[in-house]
Amino acid sequence: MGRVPVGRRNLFAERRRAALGIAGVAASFLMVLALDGIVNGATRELTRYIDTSPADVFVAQRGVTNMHMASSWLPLANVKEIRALPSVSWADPILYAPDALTTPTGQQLTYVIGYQPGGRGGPITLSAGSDPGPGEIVIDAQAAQDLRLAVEGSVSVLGRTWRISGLTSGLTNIANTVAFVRFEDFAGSRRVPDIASYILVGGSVSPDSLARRIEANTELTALPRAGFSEQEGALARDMSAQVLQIMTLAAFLIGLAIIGLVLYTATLSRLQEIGVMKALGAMPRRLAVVVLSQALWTVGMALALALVLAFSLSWVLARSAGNITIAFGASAVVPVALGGVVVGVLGAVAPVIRVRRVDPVSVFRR
Amino acid sequence: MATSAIRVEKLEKVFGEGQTEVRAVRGVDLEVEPGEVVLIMGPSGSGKTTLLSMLGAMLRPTSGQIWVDGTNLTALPEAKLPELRARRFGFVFQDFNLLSALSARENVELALNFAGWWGRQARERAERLLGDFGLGERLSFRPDKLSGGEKQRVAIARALANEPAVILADEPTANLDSKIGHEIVRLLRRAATEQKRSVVIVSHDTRLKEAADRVLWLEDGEFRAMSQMATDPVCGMSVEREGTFHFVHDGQTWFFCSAQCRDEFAGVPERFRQGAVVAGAGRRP
Amino acid sequence: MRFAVPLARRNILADRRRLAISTLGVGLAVALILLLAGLWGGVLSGVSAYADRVGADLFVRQPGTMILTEGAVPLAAADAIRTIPGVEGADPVIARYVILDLHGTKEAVSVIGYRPGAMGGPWMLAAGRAVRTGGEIVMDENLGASHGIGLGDTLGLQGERFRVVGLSSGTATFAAGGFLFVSLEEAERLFGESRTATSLLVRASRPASVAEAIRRRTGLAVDPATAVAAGQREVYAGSLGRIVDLMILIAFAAGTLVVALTVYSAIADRLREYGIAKAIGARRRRLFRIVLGQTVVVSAVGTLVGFALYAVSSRVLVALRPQFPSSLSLEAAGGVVLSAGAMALLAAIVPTRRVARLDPASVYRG
Repeated sequence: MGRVPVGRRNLFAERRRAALGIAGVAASFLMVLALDGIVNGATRELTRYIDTSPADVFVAQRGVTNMHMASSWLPLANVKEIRALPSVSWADPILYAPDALTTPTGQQLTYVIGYQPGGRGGPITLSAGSDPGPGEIVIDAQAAQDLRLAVEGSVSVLGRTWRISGLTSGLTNIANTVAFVRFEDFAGSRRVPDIASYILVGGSVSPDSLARRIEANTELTALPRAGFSEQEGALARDMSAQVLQIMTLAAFLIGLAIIGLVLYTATLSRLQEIGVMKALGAMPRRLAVVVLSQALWTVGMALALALVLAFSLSWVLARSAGNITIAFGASAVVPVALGGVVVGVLGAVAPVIRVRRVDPVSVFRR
Repeated sequence: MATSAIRVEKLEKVFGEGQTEVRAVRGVDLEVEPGEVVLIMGPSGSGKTTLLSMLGAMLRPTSGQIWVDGTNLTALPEAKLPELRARRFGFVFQDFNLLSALSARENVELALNFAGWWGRQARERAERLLGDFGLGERLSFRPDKLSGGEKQRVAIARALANEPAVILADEPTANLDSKIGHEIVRLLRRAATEQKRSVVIVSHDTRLKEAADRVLWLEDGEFRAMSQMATDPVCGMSVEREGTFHFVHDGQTWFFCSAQCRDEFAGVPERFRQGAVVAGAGRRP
Repeated sequence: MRFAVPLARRNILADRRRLAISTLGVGLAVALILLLAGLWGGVLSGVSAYADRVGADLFVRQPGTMILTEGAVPLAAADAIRTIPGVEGADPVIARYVILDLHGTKEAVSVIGYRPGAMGGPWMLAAGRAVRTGGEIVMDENLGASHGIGLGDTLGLQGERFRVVGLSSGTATFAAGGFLFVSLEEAERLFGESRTATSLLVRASRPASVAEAIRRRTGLAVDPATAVAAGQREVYAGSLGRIVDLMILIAFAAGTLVVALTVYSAIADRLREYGIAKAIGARRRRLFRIVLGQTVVVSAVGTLVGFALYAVSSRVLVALRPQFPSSLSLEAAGGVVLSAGAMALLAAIVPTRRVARLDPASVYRG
């Protein structure tokens, strides 16, 4: 049933105004999507070291369930104890401290990991250089770029200066980065002999039962990798990302308000013509369709534009500011789109509700 | 005689109340037959637009009755009025009131949509009507690309599209020059004569008298006898003979809308006498 | 002075509803920028609150440590420092990150051990008193409030029980968590420290020369409190700051579009009148001024609205989430005002071009 698509015509008759309206709504969408994506991207990267670890179970000082800002100290002798347990395939200690990589020009918060050469817990893959020798350190490529460092350069951490032997990738996030040194070097610089921070354990049974077995036989806390990662993520998110989430929420609310205003303005500009249609005998339902289609077209095209821009932005960011990643997901897009549609429709319809009360007689007057 | 297309009885409209009460229309009676063109004239603020709005089912009267095509408007619920407007009436406005985003064809087609025509049927009818009005080459033009006369022709095509019983026109020539204004009047006249539609025109424009079957004078919300009216020879407005401004020249009494017009006339009466005679109304009994 | 009819102002005031919408739209965008900047300011001042507010002129730390909860300095160094001329006080503090488990929720907190009566303790108390002896603890008021812990309650920390004797304010910080204050002796016991502190806080009459003397005498790192505060801000906020900058940039873009849109619609609705102005001889420059005048007024009023919205929303936010106080520096506020000016200029471009291309002859067409 063909009928004159007044809403769409209204929108496209003045291309420049339509473009501005769509751009205004798209900017709001983009703002919300980008902010949300940034927070997602940031929090997703927070647990990369744990998630990529070969360990099935992380063992820590009693009561310690994560790494971020935690201090865990346990006797190195525990390693032998755990290795002796049945169904434990391997167990390697690491030392850990949060600190800052420091150069004369800058600093970056880091996890420093001390691992035993040949044991687990060190860098999985290197994008450049080699594993750390004595007095050497492996840092993440992104941190190196931010601090203008390269292989064979030097950087201070743990109260001494290290030579950079290699670079990892993907271990830098908004909260911190990860750096690797030899276990003995770490112990020496911190003067903590015969102590480990965590013990990484691999086993031949499920991580859950392995963790239970370790806890039953030692005075330590043992968590499967997934659980340890979850605790780590929750805490790191709480501390680093909450402020971003608050900001995102503010942007979401304000973005929606702007969308409502843009569409309110769009309808307002057509108020006189809506009065004319009423005078010509348009039913209220038809008027609603006109206004709604205008709103939905605007919101729909704005959303499409915003998605394109957001993906472009994430592409550009991935190439220019490597430690800011934008991670979009349906979980962000869906509420944003729904919110936009609801507020957009409300904004667009609000002036017409007034029109219902304005008599069509206004078309005679100027 | 067939039943009247419009019958109005004791129509009253009062705005506000108490101190601010304005009686815009006072006890108006009116009948318009099919095929008849009625011109309603009157000074600004005389209630013309209010009357027209009530006739068009856009404004509820305070009291009195309006029948259109046998339907009592005043008895219909609000929800029925849009459909009535869409099917029984054609509207022509002073400012054309075309929808700026729609093409000429779509403007006509939209009114057809409202009246229950859809799709190709509506489109073809719109094209045919516009073609009849010499706008066949302008179908896809938007109003901002049309001249004033073209816009008003689109507006009249729109008003006729739904085959209305009644066409209500508010100052249809006010924004047009006399040649195009004349053409618009001819179109309205033709719609009445050939298609037996009733046309009610509200206007200041005395040129419309030629096309009207009847001319009514509305002042202070009431119809006055046209015989009491004269034309100001200076500005061409219809004025009451009872008015304060008059001037006797060459044994003849002239009536004016204002002291300014009278003084201008008094300066060089010969300049205006010819025009007044041509306009015709000044000496009508 | 030449008087010109203020067409821009007349146009704006002629349609008050549109003005209200435009200014509200701009106000929302400005409020978002302010909120982002204010939240960020709050984060930054929270991160460096300890260094800024504790009352020390100099921080003496193990060379190379960046984080306030890392590093070790011998307690004996404090005695040596006190003998240096110009030193008015030198007090040790022990600081550690601890993950508290409060009714199943994990909270990262900073525990500060200090000598009762000396430097290092809470600088502002909302209730109660400072720590006098062992077994007592002063807790951040927001941390207490969010877990229903008040004066006289007990708090478990590292397996020990402490009585809450005071609630401190201004000590809930992003990244470092809320602060807990205990006596130095308790901290030594809790964290197994003996004869070492995390840092020494020094008050001095001539900080610069005293710092040099301490450095020579002890070989430790000595930094002015302001430098420590700046370091904290950089370490914790460096990479986040870039994200926030990006967010602010996006909010700015959205705001600019909103101004452009509202002014453009205002102008588009009165295009004929601009044609008239042109037909009766208005020069291009005059028309530009008219358009610019409108965008400037909308931006200016919108900025005021934005500040008002910010004032309200930041108060609401802090009432709901006390750990996110907003702190807007004069520079940031000035920056936002300048941005609003920039918005007005940018937003004038599109409508100006529309008016410039307007054909004065359009007036003569019906």
